[in-house]
Amino acid sequence: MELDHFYELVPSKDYALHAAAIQRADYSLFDTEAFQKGFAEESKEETKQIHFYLNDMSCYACVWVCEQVTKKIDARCSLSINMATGEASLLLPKGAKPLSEFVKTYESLGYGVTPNRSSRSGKGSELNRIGVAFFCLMNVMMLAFPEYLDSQSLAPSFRQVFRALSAVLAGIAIFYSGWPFLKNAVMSLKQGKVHLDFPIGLALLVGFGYSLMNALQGAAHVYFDSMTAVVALVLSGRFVQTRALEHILREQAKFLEGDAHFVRLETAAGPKMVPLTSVRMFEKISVLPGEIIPLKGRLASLGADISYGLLRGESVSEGVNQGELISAGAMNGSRPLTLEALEDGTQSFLLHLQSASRALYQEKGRFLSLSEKMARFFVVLVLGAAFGVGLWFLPSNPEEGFRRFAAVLLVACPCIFGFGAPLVIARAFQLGLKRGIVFRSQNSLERLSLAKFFYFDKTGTLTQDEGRVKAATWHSENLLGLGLDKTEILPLLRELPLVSRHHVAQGLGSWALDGVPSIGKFPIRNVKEIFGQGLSFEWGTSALRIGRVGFCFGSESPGAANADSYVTIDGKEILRFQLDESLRPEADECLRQLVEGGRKPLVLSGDKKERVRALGQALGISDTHLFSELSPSDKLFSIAHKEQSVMVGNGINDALASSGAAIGIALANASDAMKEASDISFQREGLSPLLTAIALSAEARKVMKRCFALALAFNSIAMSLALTGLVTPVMAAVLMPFSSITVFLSSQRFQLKGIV
Amino acid sequence: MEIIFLLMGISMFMASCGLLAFLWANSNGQFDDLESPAQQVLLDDSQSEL
Amino acid sequence: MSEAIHKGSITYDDHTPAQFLWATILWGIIGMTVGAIAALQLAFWQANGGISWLTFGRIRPIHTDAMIFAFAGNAFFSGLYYSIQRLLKTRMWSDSLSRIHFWAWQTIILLTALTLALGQTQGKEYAEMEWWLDILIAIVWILMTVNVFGTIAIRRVKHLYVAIWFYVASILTLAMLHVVNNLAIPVSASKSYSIFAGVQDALVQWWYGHNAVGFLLTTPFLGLMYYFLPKAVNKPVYSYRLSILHFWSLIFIYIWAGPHHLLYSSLPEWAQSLGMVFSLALLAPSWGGMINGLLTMRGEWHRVRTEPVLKFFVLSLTFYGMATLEGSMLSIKSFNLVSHYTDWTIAHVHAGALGWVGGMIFAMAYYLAPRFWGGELYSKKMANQHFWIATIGILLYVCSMWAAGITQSLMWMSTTEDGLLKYPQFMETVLALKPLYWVRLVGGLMYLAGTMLCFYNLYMTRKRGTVKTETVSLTDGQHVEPRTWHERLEGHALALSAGALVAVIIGGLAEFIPAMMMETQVATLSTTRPYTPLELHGRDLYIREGCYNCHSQAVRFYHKEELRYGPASQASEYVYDFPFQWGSKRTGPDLHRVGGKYPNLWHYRHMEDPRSTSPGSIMPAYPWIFEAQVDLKELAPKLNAMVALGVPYDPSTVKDPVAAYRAQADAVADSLKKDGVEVSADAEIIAMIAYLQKLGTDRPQKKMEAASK
Repeated sequence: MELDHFYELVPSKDYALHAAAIQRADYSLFDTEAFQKGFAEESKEETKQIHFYLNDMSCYACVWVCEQVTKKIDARCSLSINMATGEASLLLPKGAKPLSEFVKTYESLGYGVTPNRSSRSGKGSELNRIGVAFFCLMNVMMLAFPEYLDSQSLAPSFRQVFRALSAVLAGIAIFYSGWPFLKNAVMSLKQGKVHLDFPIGLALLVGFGYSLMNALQGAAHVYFDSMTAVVALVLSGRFVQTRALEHILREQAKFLEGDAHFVRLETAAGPKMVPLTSVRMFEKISVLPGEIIPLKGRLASLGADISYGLLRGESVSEGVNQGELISAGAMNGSRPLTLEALEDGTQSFLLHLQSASRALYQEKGRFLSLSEKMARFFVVLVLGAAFGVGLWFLPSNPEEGFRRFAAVLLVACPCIFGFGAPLVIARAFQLGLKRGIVFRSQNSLERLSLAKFFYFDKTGTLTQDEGRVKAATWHSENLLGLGLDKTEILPLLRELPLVSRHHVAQGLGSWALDGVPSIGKFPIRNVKEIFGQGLSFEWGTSALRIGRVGFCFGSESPGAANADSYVTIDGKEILRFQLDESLRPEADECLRQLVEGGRKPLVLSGDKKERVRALGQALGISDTHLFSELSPSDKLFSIAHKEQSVMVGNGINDALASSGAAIGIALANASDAMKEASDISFQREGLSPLLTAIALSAEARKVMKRCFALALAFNSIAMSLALTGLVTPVMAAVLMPFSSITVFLSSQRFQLKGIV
Repeated sequence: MEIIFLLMGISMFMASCGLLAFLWANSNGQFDDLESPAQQVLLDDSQSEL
Repeated sequence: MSEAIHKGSITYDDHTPAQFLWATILWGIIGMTVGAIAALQLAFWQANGGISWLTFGRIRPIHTDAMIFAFAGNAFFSGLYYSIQRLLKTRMWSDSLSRIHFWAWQTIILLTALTLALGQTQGKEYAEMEWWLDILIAIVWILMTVNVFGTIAIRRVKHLYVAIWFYVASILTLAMLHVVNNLAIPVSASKSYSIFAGVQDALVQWWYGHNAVGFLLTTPFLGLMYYFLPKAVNKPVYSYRLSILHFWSLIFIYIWAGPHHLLYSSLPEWAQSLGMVFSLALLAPSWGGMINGLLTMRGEWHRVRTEPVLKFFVLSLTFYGMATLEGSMLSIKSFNLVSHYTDWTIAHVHAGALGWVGGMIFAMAYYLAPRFWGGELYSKKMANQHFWIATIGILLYVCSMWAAGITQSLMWMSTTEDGLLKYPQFMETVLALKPLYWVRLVGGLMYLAGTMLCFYNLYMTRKRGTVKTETVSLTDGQHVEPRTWHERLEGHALALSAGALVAVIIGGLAEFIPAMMMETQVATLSTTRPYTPLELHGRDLYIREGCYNCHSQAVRFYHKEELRYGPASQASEYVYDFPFQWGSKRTGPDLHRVGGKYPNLWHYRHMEDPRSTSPGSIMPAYPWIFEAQVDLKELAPKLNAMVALGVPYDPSTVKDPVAAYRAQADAVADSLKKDGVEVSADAEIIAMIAYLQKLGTDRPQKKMEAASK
């Protein structure tokens, strides 16, 4: 009853999503000790705590259901879920049911499980610092108002007490809440690098000491309130940014499975999950449909249907016979296969590729971000002005020199950098996420719109994964003869992708999708995928075949040489079609807009020259910009002008190039390795998020520059006033929140014209 | 106007209690998930077993 | 162990919230009836029937206290007991404490009403209950707090929903406010003196007064809104994050808005400005709550047409938004100059009380009734009628009071071209309001009628239904995560540093306060004379009769006001006023400069029949103070209390207060005798006249003022 009631609550969400159960081929991986490393921890004696993400939690009913089924599986276990983040933790006492059973249940309900290996320490302390800072701010302001508003009626004894209390509170704010600034300031001093926290830390220390000195002497110019405000505001800005980044990283982590390095080893006692690196030559491993062949080997089972699409960019799948060689990186197409390893796990080409791209990604030259550049400029300016004025007065009036030195440091409010830029970035991240774009770093956001060269992978990037059905013709006589109508066949075809991963099934399925309602499950039995040929299955009493002529009609059938494919029922043709690699519908428009924006699209493909050339013609890319038959490392070396280059791809073979380019972009259908090696990944299908990302990047730069201009204007005025000694605490108190609010509003104003 | 000290002291004391409560709430994980509690409230009537 | 928790069931205690709901409605009807009688007396003074305990000055506190502590208070407890059990998925920690709380609270209210009718009052608004009642309240409050915290401790849900934060903050803050504001030295069972005097007392009182409004009428009801509104619309609150954010900002800002009640008074300028700034800042979190509430209803607005519960929520939130905006505006000095001491304040208060609090209470009542007693509400139609009657009633009430307030204020401030007051007779400004007072009465009666409809509706629902107990089977998978030792230590370190801060503050204050006290006490002593025993007793009579309900004793620093009443009041003139009697509303004129303005006979005649000296007056006659004789035995303990509070009496006066009393009383009686009036020197009227003649006569000389600065 409660569930129905809950589905009413948030009608806008599409709960049909959950109907599609997620099924893995094998859950035993989750019970492997080595795999659990990193997300399972011994929390108490004999109790394991498992951290993972539960995806697609859309309302509390989902949480409730998962918690309930956990109890159902094993009453001693309990699950707690953080709906805001999707993080879940499962308590498994010793002797409880195995983890795989829980995972299988959650996934069968439609909630994908991803291990959460990120560290979970020290997450609350930031909020504590902010809470303390705001508490101090409110109280310091309360104590500061009397002095600002009516210093005459304030008895000196009151003023002393107020100032003493302010000093205590500001001290707490600076030394507890502002600790990160002080720490970073010292670090930056040690490393000799200019860091934004340096002037903040310096200003806090100098301002505090100076105010304390004045307070003790009973002099004017006490800045406890403005320093506390700086700490509170800058901390909040950073908090917002960190939270946005954390959110992004979580989103990213949810899609990275991280189980690629485990394989199913055939042992005398049956299959067993082991880390890839422990596999020795001549051992046998089994690979399920849809999994990637982890190492070079010889096919030990009867026959298989594999595709090198992800690795080489070839779009066709091919049949392999027993005893033939299979390279690592190929994807198993249709049925389980057994492989005899011809290399040690540690030698796997796949591992090499991955570690190479990882190293490259980490080495990636740390470009100076826009906000860092602006901050450096600002820091140098402020420090220069402060020391300048200090030194100027040093010979004549050292006390006045120090006063102005402090005033300049204090008045030059770093809020704009500490507060403005993080807000712009957080907002842009948020807008991106809403549109299915995950920026993994601030740099990728800032630099994308500057890139000139866009390298595209072909297969799966400019083209679609599944084959496209074209020139389909119904054989109406045979249909009539069978007493059938095409409206009865179409829904059947539509269901095919659910029962087979064969590319014919996938292609037909999406072709039939248009305008055909789902009727539900069809009674399809005995699905057989025959490698290199097609698939057959039984529907009711009829036997259906889908595939090439030879497969459907036998080799003696008429026109055996033609390239068409057929759907037959009991050997009678009902549909004839051609299967073709298809361009993404939005690719043309996307490239056109890139060119219009003065950018240059290029293609890097592992596929055959003719196919790449055909694609280039279709997209209007000149032959000089097409590179074909490239290995993964060839792709990397083909990228020129690395600092302005973007690599857009999806396969394992793009990972290296993606790490090497200034910015790597992984499409939604990308493999884990590619996602890991990219700076930006899309959660929405296709290429269209690319244009949005570029527009967002350009807009973010613009907004940041606007904030910078505002900051510069405000600070120049304030600093010149401070230099001449004209700034009073009241003015600083009025100007500071005013400038912060202006920056805040300005940072949130994104012109989203053209950003869809 | 000495009374203002007393009132300010009490106000600050109460604000400190507020701060302590805030710190406790944070360390207790009260702010970890700010989405499900809003929905959880609606589910407190007699629950049925799954 | 976990087996025991996860299996089994909870049965909620719905008896206590149901009892509190009945108490809410019943006390509501009583309190509103008393309010209507008071309102009638303003339009038709004879309505007190010549009975002392029915006069305006005595029943107005009964009305306000009944509405705040009985109507709003009981409603808060009802919602608290109902929702906290469900939010924490546990029965209340102790059923006996719940029962004690209910019965003790009703007893306190009853005793409050009785003692106030008898004139036993502390003379501080919304804190009129005498000292022993205050102690009872504190005890009951502590018992309730224990029960609530006990319930939180045994909760089965880890997260504390935002409503609970609002409840807990309200409970703790109110406890603190109540204790500080009611610090007093008892003289007898029916009399005590506030330990604060004059301006200081005023500041404490309005610090309390403002926050009591905040933490009894705002935060608890925001908590109730966050529970009942989502339940009623069956949707989660619009933004839970916003609710958390606005809770914490409200907590940090609310406490300092109090001084806006004392603008233009002798409170130091900076303290006034502080109050103003914080009151303005308060608007942001207040509206955060309103917007969150209204947006929670998005997509459900069509249901408002038929559902009385939702209607009342909308009414409530609308008036909340309006009243908080109005409140922030009224705390701006220039607005406050117009609104203060007039019916505008009354309008503002009733917009909040009838609209926001009343709306929330009735929404809650109609939501709860079917859940307590099964089935449906007896009559939805009747509830809808209640809504319309109440809404029209509020509008009539609030609009008429706005009009009255602005009219009177403008009349007070109008001057002729020569710079003289256009309406020098205060009476003129009173008579102009009489029609509006009738309109207000109609509005109030409509609201009362609506409440009676509500009572009937609930009664019939109860009669037709059966008492339902809700039992919930425990299936929840919520558990409290075990923490590691270093996490615990981390929490402690923070607690320790914050605790240290508190210690530093308190220590600092403890060190400074005595020094400050000494310093300023000496400065003020020379300017003001303490009350003589006779005047002191007169002052107590002034408080007993609740004169402060209609007369202020503070001339503001504003030249038109000085033109009307005399020189503005100085802080040093109040140092012996335990408690202060500044008042908050001028139904009659300010009295601070009345001393020496009229002869004794005038006061005698005026108290006997106000209309004989001031034609058209709406003030009641006070025949009983002419008959009653003063009990002179009370004088000694009173003077001892004063000495204990630091009033520098002559040792001879303290030793024999009766002699001093007699001497001065005889003089007053003699002067009356000369004017042809024979009256006993021990009659209460003598003391009253002596007190009124003392008022404002100790004005510091200009030179001394300059010297003290």
